[in-house]
Amino acid sequence: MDNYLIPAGTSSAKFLQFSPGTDEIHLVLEENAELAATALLNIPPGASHSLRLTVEQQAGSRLNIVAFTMRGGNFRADLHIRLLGKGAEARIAGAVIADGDETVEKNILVEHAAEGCSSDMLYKQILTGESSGLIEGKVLVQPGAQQTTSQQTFGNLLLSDTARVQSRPMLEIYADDVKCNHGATIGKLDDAALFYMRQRGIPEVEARLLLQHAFVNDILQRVGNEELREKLSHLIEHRFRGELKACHGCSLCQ
Amino acid sequence: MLTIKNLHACVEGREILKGVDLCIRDGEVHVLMGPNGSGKSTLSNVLVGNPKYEVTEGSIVFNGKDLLALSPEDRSHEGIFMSFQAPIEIPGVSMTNFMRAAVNAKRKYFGQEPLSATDFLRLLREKRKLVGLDAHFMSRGVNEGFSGGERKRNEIFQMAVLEPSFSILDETDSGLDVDALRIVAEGFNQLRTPLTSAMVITHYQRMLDYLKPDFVHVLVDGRIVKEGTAQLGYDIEEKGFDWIKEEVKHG
Repeated sequence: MDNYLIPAGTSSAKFLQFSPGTDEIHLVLEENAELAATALLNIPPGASHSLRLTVEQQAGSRLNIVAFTMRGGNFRADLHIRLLGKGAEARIAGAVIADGDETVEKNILVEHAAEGCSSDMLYKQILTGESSGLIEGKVLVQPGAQQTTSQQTFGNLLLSDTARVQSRPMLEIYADDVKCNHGATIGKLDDAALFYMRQRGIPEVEARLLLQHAFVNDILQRVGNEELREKLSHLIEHRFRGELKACHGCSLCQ
Repeated sequence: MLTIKNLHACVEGREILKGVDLCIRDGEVHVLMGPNGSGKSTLSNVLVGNPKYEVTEGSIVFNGKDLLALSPEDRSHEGIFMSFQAPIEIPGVSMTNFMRAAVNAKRKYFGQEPLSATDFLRLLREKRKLVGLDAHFMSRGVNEGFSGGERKRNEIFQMAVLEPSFSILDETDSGLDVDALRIVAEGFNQLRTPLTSAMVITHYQRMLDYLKPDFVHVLVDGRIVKEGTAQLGYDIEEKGFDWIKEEVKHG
């Protein structure tokens, strides 16, 4: 178990790259602490990774997690975020790109246990081949957690007939003064957009790549560090081009 | 430049074009008019290779090449451009990245190196001025949050960047106010050369005033039933299509 404490009133940024195996992480954000964490998973096909992340957030703390599953092999993540102090804010986002027989499963629980907290989940999956992606995200609003605001946005692109997706935003609310929105979409690439691009001379393969990249663009934009965002953007492009192998020490780790 | 012979085409199993013949030479502007549903947009979409439309008979030769054998992107490289009736919004793909992909794909087709960043930005700046499109549009998603008029201007901007030899304007004038129409039409006119041609679909006399077409064709029920000069366009504006339909009926 790895424990991290972000002391009161400080802000910090972390970049985590996971390897096959099991990781257990416990994070504590003290009052008014800020953490921006970017995570990357890029492991060989057939390899497995499981992640259990628990977070405790005190009053006024702010968390921003952005996770990229470029190659997830067999990946399972359990996230439990507890908003324990007034006005805490959690923004969690993830992009999953899977093909072959990769399986990705994410269970996310955000627990609003104090008043005036806000949470925002943004998850996008692009699945092809025979891959499967499952995301369950639940917002639990405890009694007394008034003036809660929460947003859950789940988007999925299915690019083959054999890929499977499950995308479930869920709400469980025990307070009466809350604002909670949720939505999920499942679709394929927009034919009209593809044709528009091809008419302008952009080859079909390239047009597909641009549209897939665009699909996860809003997640990429949540990475605050511009240099890191650019690098991740290139990794994603390589991934869609099929040029990204499992990690052999890419530029991000060096 | 373009020769269409006995063209038949279907959309979703329904025959829309029932034998179209049309010849467009270098430097000519042809206007295509016709009642709603007569096949004007189908003809445009077939010319640019939209996969939703199926050609069942006939031929199209473009600058000596069998157009129907080319992919939509190769038709674009060969010089065909369509200004869409309803330009598509592509959130997350910036105008700059979109245009860079388009310009460099064309250069690659002709065996040229990609444009340098400086040259590319200079090209965009120069062409934006032509249609009065502000710089901030270039960092937005393609047509994302653009008004109707801005989308049509953006179409002419793209046309200016790609410099096609044959342009199709599919109701580019619809939904434009008087000023926007003037900017779009003047932009188009500035791009005309003795070697560039166009097929323009319009319902409006004002467009005829600006473009001064060489020929007007009337499409009714999937066939060209009447052809004439710009005067024919003005007659239609005044009298509608019914008299032409009557003429056809009485052969």
